[in-house]
Amino acid sequence: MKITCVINGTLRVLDARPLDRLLDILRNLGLTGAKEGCGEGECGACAVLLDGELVNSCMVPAIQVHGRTVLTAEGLGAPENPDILQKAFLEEGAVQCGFCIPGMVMASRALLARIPHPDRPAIRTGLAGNLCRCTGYEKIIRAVEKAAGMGYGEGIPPFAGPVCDYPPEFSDEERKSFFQPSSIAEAMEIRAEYGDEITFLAGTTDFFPDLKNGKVEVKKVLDLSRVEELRAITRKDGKLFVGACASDSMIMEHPDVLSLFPALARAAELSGARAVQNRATLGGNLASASGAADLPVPLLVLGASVILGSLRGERLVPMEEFFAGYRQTVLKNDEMLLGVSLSIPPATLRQAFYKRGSRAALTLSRISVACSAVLEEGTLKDVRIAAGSMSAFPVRLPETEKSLSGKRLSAELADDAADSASREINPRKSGEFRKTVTGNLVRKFLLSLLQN
Amino acid sequence: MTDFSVVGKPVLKVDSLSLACGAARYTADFEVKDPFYLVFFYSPHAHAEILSIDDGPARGMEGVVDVFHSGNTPSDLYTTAGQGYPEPSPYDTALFNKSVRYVGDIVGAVLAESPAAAREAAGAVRVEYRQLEPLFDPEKSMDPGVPCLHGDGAFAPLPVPYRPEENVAGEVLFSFGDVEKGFAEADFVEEETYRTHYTNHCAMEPHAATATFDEKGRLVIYSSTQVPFHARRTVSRVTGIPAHMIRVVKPRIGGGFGSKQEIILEPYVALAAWKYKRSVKAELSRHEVFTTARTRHPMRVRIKTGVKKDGTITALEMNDIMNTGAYGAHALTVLSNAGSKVLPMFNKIPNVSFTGRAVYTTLPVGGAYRGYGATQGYFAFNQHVDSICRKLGLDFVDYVKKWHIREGETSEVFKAIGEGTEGVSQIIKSCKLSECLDRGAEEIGWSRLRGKRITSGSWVKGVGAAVSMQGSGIPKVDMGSASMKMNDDGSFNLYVGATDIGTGSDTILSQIAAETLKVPVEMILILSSDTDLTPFDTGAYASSTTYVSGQAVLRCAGKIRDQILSAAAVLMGASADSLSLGDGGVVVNRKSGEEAPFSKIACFAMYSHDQFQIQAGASYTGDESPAPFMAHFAEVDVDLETGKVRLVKFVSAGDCGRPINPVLAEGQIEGATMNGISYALTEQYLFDPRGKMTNSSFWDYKIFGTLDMPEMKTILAESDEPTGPYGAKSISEIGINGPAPAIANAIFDATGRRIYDLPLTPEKVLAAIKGVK
Repeated sequence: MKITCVINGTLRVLDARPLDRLLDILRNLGLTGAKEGCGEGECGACAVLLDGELVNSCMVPAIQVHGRTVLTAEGLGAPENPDILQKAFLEEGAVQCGFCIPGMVMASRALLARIPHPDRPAIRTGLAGNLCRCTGYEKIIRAVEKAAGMGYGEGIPPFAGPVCDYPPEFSDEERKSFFQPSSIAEAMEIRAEYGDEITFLAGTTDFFPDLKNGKVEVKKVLDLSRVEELRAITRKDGKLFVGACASDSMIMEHPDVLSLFPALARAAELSGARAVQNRATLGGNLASASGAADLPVPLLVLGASVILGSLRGERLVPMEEFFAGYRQTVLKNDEMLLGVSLSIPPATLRQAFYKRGSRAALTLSRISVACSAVLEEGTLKDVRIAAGSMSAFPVRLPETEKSLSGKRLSAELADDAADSASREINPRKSGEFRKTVTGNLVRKFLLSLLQN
Repeated sequence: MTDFSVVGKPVLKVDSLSLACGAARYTADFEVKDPFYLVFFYSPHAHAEILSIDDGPARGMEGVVDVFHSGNTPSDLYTTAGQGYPEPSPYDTALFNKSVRYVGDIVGAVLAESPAAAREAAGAVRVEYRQLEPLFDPEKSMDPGVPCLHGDGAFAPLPVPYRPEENVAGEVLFSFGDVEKGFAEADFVEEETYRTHYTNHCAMEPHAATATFDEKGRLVIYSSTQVPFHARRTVSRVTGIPAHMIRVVKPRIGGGFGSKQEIILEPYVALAAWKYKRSVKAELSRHEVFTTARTRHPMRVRIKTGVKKDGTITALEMNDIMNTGAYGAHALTVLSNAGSKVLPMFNKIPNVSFTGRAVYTTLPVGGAYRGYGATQGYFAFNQHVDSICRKLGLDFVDYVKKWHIREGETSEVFKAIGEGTEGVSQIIKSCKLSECLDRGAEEIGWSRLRGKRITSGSWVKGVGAAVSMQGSGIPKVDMGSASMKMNDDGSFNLYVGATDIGTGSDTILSQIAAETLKVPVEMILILSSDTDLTPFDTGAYASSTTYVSGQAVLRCAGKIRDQILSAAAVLMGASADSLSLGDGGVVVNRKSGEEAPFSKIACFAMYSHDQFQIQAGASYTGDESPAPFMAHFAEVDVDLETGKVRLVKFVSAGDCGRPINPVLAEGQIEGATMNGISYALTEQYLFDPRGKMTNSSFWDYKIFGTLDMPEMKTILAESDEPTGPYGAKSISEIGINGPAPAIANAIFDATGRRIYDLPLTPEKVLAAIKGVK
């Protein structure tokens, strides 16, 4: 295919195969600043900016680069004219082996573009997806502080918009297997025609690792990245609709999600580091039906319905009924996931999402728990509890919920609930530990209600 | 204190600008014309004999050039360990072994025109195995009746203990005094067993090597190596390509930490390139780095002390079993270091015995890894000392300050354990460990927090400390050399064999030269690690570069200085005695005040009078290995409900002599410390029952990121090492030794529970806490 894009300020028309990784495209152009440290979006050594947003270039297919603007470390400055940020890195002694540094620099720029004067926790969050084994990070953080202090963030121009408005040019052969519709209706037609042969592309954060590990066989590709409708988050008629292609960062920053469904916003926030949040979508998180997925856990307690669409029409499936087994959903082979619909909860609904992993960022959940309840004059109502990472897919804990609803909340009740939750889950691995921790997280939620 | 103009200053790292701009090139960034690609295929079994290999289908695939394996490519046995020659590691592996000994052992390699074609063909090779009994428990490796893993001619090239028939890859035994008598004199005997785990270096750059040819048909290997000269020697030995036809070039390296002190890819790309006279590239994936490349040797450390009521230790016995995995790379020497770098710390113990055995198993191969055995030994040692202190009601910091080795003192251990040879006795000439302890304790709030168990909800606070020492190169073994020449503008080319793998050695070696010649560091043009262009150096390992290679540079620059002065004497018509170097590249006549700039002197020597090139070379081998010292302090909050350990603050206080570049020295400490923290808390290899690693990605093998880091504080307690270049000692490894025991001791402080096995996971902490609840 031919793609048109701007790389480091230069308009380029490139020949590529649709699934070529942006990382390889860049490196083949001699832009070797982006490095491959893992090829799975876990290390950030390949991080670049795509339309001003941080992404891992090892997880962006060429088909999604068309019409877009790419910026790499080489685009910021060269040794003879480095920019402020690059200079700050060397002045603070933040560069040792340097392999992670181009990615670190790009993550820092993305952060400073959003938050020109971040505090330390914000810097740490902004760089959470970029691993470094040499520096211990301290001097890198100081470099970002230094650049921020010099007003680097304020000088970053806003994203200027798409490079072109026409679609990419596919070869005749590619046209048979790669589809890039711009509307839901068009997408549903393609889905209907090819059924099970279709592999959906959206954020591709699961797709590329799966491709590398031979877990996915690609026959026909339906890329949803140009379907604007699917990215919408809208409030209407007492419902909040979150589109299947809304990314984690859109979800966690959307004012309605933050005010109405803070547990969902929190799950999106904890789902990965920035480069992954910018790419990973709600739809991907649901459709992958992974036991370790984050978003389904709060969606279970928030009463969400999954909207599935096909040429036959739309249907709503309660979240509880969406998963059919290990890596399986009820999605039929002519359907596509359009989004989720959430009823606006009463203002008194309290909700929380907790996650415990072995590291703070970018960790697949080892234990996640979402809870919601209404506390009315000391009595619990509408208690819902869900746990993730325990079995093939996230589940509600109906017995524990039942044991709490209508009860007067007390520390003793919280202890009982913790025991009940521990008993009710059946983890596949690290059983005792996960049981204990899950119970403790349920207790933590109840005690937080008691405190307020 | 002496006044320096370049040494001791935070000079900017000489390569950092090009690195930050993405312009600097690493091995995989070099473009070569029409390369072939080499992709390996591996054993799926922990232990098996290869009965047959059918490469026919693979050879028939499009783009496939060749398939190499034991059936068509025999080789002599060798060691992948990049060490001095002869190596102290056994020759126990071939390029392609007929028996495979761990899941991930290299079975063969496909050469093809594209990586995709090579990968596909690698999956099409059919290998028939006869599975053999695996051996997973190193503590059973020496038992009768277990499979012998190396019965096929493996041997040690040095006269060191090596008994493959017993699965013993290395043995270190020594003692002095009489430990039994010592135990009898004690008021009590404390005995504990600690276990450390498999971990990976996780250098951000995976191993890569490219072989190509120069216009004369010589083989040029670009490699992500810490040991270019050892790599050339080993490649030549294994492939039969004459060494004079091989040039190894080290470009920028994306971190090593010991992982690239191993000669893994170079012989294969050399062999394939030589055969086809085509460029060949090979790059490991992250998965392959985990499963096939090297690891930190796991170790069981049993430590037993006899102690008097006043805290005097009357005897110490250490018994280590080290798992070297399938092959014995660095087995003997890592094992040695678990004793030789640890036991001198308390040098006043009169009766000491050390029994160490490195044993084979059918698990991944151990190798060099920052800390190199000391890390494993200190995990046990520091917790053991904490146990003694707890028993006696003594303060850890006070206790260590009373007993640690000091300036002017020695330890019998120095002489007893070397690296494959006898050790070298030495007297400690610089030690600021007590200052490290005092300043670190102050910074962490030791007296305010120790034993207080301050609680907040389900969280309890604790603090812990650990101390360690390392070395500065291997005495009488490691050699570094430098050569230098003066240019007509008064700048200098500095050629060093020393290998900058991200540590900043190019910068500090330039600083040493600049200081000696009193020029700005920009006037030193350094080129490092190219076997054609630079003189020999053993490589970047054993904390040797600053001390050993630094001395070579110092001496070389001194010779240059003398030549400049004698040329200047003629030019200026003065006696050399009356001349000295002034700041900024001038020679000053101390009597007349007359000055001559370096450029004028260089031109004079080159073009005018008694013409010659001002140039020199120098080599250095350390007669001793002065130890850097470090104290680590951890403040943790432990969640009694989940077992989670939240590292709140971590303090590293180190004595590396005079830091040539304090910012780079801090960077070494901070990086090693963070690696050590991550080693302590989250990193581990998980295996399935058949010996296959199940978490070979950064998703599942967790190294610390920015959100995990504690508040970090780094303190340099400067000393002046009289044998070091400008008073410097090493700093690169030591920082990794303290975090695990300091955190474990802090967990004990918070919970009263001791964790004996790494890593310190929430599961283990919770189980330990529940034991008392």
